[in-house]
Amino acid sequence: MKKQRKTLPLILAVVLILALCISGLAAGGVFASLIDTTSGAQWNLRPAQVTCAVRDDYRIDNTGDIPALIRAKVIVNWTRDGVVAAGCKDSWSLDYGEGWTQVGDYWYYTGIVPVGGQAPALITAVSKGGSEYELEVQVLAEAIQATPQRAIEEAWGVSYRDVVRSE
Amino acid sequence: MNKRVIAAFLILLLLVVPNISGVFGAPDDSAPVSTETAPETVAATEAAQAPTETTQAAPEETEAPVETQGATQAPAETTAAAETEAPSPVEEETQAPEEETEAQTLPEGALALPAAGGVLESGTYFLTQDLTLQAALEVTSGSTVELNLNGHTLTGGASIEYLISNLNGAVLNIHDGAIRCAKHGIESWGTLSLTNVDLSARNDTLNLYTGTIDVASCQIKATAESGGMAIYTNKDSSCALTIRDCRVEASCRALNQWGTGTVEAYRTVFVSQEEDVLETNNGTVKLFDHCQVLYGDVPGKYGGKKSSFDFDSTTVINESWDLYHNSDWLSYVKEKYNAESYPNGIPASEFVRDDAAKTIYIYTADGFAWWASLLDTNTEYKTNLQDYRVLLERSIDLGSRPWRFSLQTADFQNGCLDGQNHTISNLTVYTSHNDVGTAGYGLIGDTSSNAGPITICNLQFDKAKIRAVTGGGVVLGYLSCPGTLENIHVTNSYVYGHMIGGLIGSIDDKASAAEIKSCTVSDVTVETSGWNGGGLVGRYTASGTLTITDSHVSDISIKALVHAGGLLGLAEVNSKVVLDKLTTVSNVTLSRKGEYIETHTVSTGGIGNANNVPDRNDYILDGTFAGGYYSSCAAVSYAEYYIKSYSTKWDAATYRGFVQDGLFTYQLTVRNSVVGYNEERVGSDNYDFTTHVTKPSVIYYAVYNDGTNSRDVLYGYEYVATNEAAAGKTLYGDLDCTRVPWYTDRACTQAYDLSTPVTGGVTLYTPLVLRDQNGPISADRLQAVAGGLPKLQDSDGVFQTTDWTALQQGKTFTPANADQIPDMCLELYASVDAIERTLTVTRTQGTGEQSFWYTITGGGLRLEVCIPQGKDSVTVSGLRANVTYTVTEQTGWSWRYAADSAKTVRFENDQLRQTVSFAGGRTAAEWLSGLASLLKRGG
Repeated sequence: MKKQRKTLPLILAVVLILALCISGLAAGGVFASLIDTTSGAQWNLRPAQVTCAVRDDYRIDNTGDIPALIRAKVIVNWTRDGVVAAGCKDSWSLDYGEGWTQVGDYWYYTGIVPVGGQAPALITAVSKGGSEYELEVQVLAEAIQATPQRAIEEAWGVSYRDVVRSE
Repeated sequence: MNKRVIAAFLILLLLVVPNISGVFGAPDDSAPVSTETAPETVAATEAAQAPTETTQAAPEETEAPVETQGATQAPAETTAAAETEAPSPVEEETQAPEEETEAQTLPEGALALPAAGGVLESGTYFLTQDLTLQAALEVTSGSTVELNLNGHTLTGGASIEYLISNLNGAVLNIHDGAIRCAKHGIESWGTLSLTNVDLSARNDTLNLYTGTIDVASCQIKATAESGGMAIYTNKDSSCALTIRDCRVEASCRALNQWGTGTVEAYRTVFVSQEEDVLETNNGTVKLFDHCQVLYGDVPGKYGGKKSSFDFDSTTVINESWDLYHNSDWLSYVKEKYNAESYPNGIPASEFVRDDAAKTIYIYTADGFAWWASLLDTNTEYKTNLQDYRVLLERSIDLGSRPWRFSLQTADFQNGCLDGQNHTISNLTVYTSHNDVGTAGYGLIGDTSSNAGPITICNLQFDKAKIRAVTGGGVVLGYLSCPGTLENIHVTNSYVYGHMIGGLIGSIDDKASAAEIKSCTVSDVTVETSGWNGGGLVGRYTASGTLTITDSHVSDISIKALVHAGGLLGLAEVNSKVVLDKLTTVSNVTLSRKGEYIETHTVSTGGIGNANNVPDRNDYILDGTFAGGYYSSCAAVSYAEYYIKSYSTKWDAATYRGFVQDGLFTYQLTVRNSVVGYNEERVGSDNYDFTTHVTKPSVIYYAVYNDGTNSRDVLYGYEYVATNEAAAGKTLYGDLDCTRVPWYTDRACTQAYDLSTPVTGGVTLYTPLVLRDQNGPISADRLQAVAGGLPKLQDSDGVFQTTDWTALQQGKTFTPANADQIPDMCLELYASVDAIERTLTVTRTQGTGEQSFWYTITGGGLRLEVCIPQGKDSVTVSGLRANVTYTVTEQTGWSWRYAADSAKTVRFENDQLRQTVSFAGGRTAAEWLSGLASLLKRGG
């Protein structure tokens, strides 16, 4: 009985701090502050952001704040006034850049892109024959947290080792 | 003590647990978490509500107080009932529930309403249960009465004329309940207010003489099956009636303003099923804040006289129609940016005028109205904007108030309104009382002869409503000057009136030239109150030329008394319409309206896939036309031929018809005086062009020598050629699409297999095979027979000597030497157009943050399409009929979202567009990721 009375306040304090921390994070949504009253130190906890951007020359930036893996889907169609022309059979071709590998429907950059870094151009040249339609090249890009490895395996359904060839 | 503390912390922990995953997961993972918590919240709410429901039920179980209204009034009821000869149905119906109802306690100070009726003294009367009155109630001068119905129903017996009389000098406030009157409702000379009352009577539900009447949140209904009036103000009396948020309904007139006072209604719906919805004879009715006047199925007119309606008082409103405050856009901006601040009063964020560049930039609806106010007929800011280019920099919504704009000066000569492909939505133009007999309703209503030339281009209209007296079009009501519309697209709109069209109502003789170029009208209803409804233009009477180029009308409904057409309702004799390039009409529904459709010797045109056509005589092709699609259709399951040959000029008419087999549309053009015969009636009777052609058919055309220019000779009879070789013979063109050989070259050397699937446009040629009674004759022989072929001038101005092979698709031809045209000539070409179907793939969830891609497979096609972030659809054209396509979402990409199953779609012959939709909500996938996309056109 006596031992329980000594440990109970400590347990309650931990739970309370944890609860306040969680509540603060949940409410703030971005970060919360945790203050150690004994030392006066303060930590700001900020959830990581994973974002990317596709440049006009088809390079893809890691604009997030943690290293990321990047994949892309390329969709090419002949269009007129923004409407895809299914019947157009005019020819086109793309040249793909170094450092990318195709697995299934997607192109994967074979390295980890550091914060502020970029994957090289996915497409280096677009060739097309004459057509009354307009060629539309659409690049969809997605960045995902580089670690743990099971992130891309669960989210993208590919083996980490099949994609990432240099670290 | 410790257990309680632990319990408290456990509760605290439970409260924050739902947010834990929101912390450890990515911020954008919060959505699925919150979704999961939703059922818990609902359950908790339900649990919390349960005791409340129990509490509310308790009073019902308590016994009724001794002093209830019903108990104290029982003797009076018995007396009254004895005096009544027979109980009315109303009494029978209402007495039954009265017996079942437990009376409530009368509040302190409140008075019980006497069931026996009679004069009410000042005070608050309170219903504790439903009550049937045996005699009328009366509030006399000097009395102030509040009648709290308390959610109950007050019913008047069958013998009561007016249930309540509110006399001059009295004040009566009734609220919160229902009043049912067997005959009439409430008559009032005094001050009356009704709040939250459901009041019904057989007739004259509210009969008003003088005083102030305020009705709010009520339903006022006259229940008589015919002739009933809900609100009636008496002649020579003047009351001030205000109605807010009510529904006023009657079989005859919802409101009859016979008195001299003013009725103001706000957000109120007036409904009539029989005749006039509203009528005013001596007073004023003002409708504000989107009142609605709903009329039943029977056409009619308002009976309004000397009224000051804020809306059309001359035509019936037979559908929901919003009415607005009388302040239209131009009045509004003139008041808002007043003369003192002109011309710089309007902020640059809305309107910028660069006089040096002669350019005006418009950013808002206010800015747009301000531009119009500088040019409007009635403007006090008359401004010379000749040669100005007006650029609409953003899409604008004009729905908050009506639009009226008339261009009656030369101040915008050579001006151009360039929408820059932005959209004007909810343009609302309606007639007002003062508009009787006036003309011109549209974005620009009326134009004077010196207003142009003007150009309106690159502009889209959505949800426009135009109600015209005469001359109504979304873009222009009356075009009386040279004008050009280019790249204008109207959709999802409604035009009503006389001489109306999807783009332009009427083009009159002052418009020496008009051009409609690359415009479309779709999903539009054109409903005439009189004559002349067209998909593009209602009436064209100018002696100049109307050129329609690369424009398309589809999916529209035209309701007309007389003269309706997919492109034009009416083109007068001597008018000239040139249809250039590919102008099409498809899926137009023409329906008869009114009691008759007049057979008229002037023209209508532009009929394509004319479903539900009530009378073959309502569309007659005539006049002087060059080329065109007066009976055109494309990509439809069957073509309805619609030609009847009443030529006033023997060499004038050009007819075009179609035969379709489900994949191809064969277009046949026969020039000059030609009457067709079907196979069974060769040489005996006319081919019935109104017959639905559902498969390739054999149609023979007789070729006439019409030197006499006699209609009687032409129509309905064979002509016997007079020249030597053809004497006594009748010539026929064999136009059987399946048997005639088709070629891909003009020389007819490269055979074409009609069974080849067509994926793009193709022009085919065939040598004309004519035959006489002895069998086929060659073209050479015919040429010899005809004694030479006519020279034709094509739309490029090139004179050609026509051979018997085809002319090039898309060109129009006019006889260049009409006086020298030989006795016989017949030319033919056929075009085989691929009928393209359009499929739209839409996404309803997740489009703000996730890109999606899909594969479309079927008929040898495998196509990948994408809906990028921020978009919700992608459209694919060029699909084919009778092929099943499968649309599959590729969820390897949108892994955060649950996948909908693949969807299939198949276009039948008459289906041009289809849509498949995907939803698939988010899953609880937790990894941090981010998306981006790039779209580059031109590679």
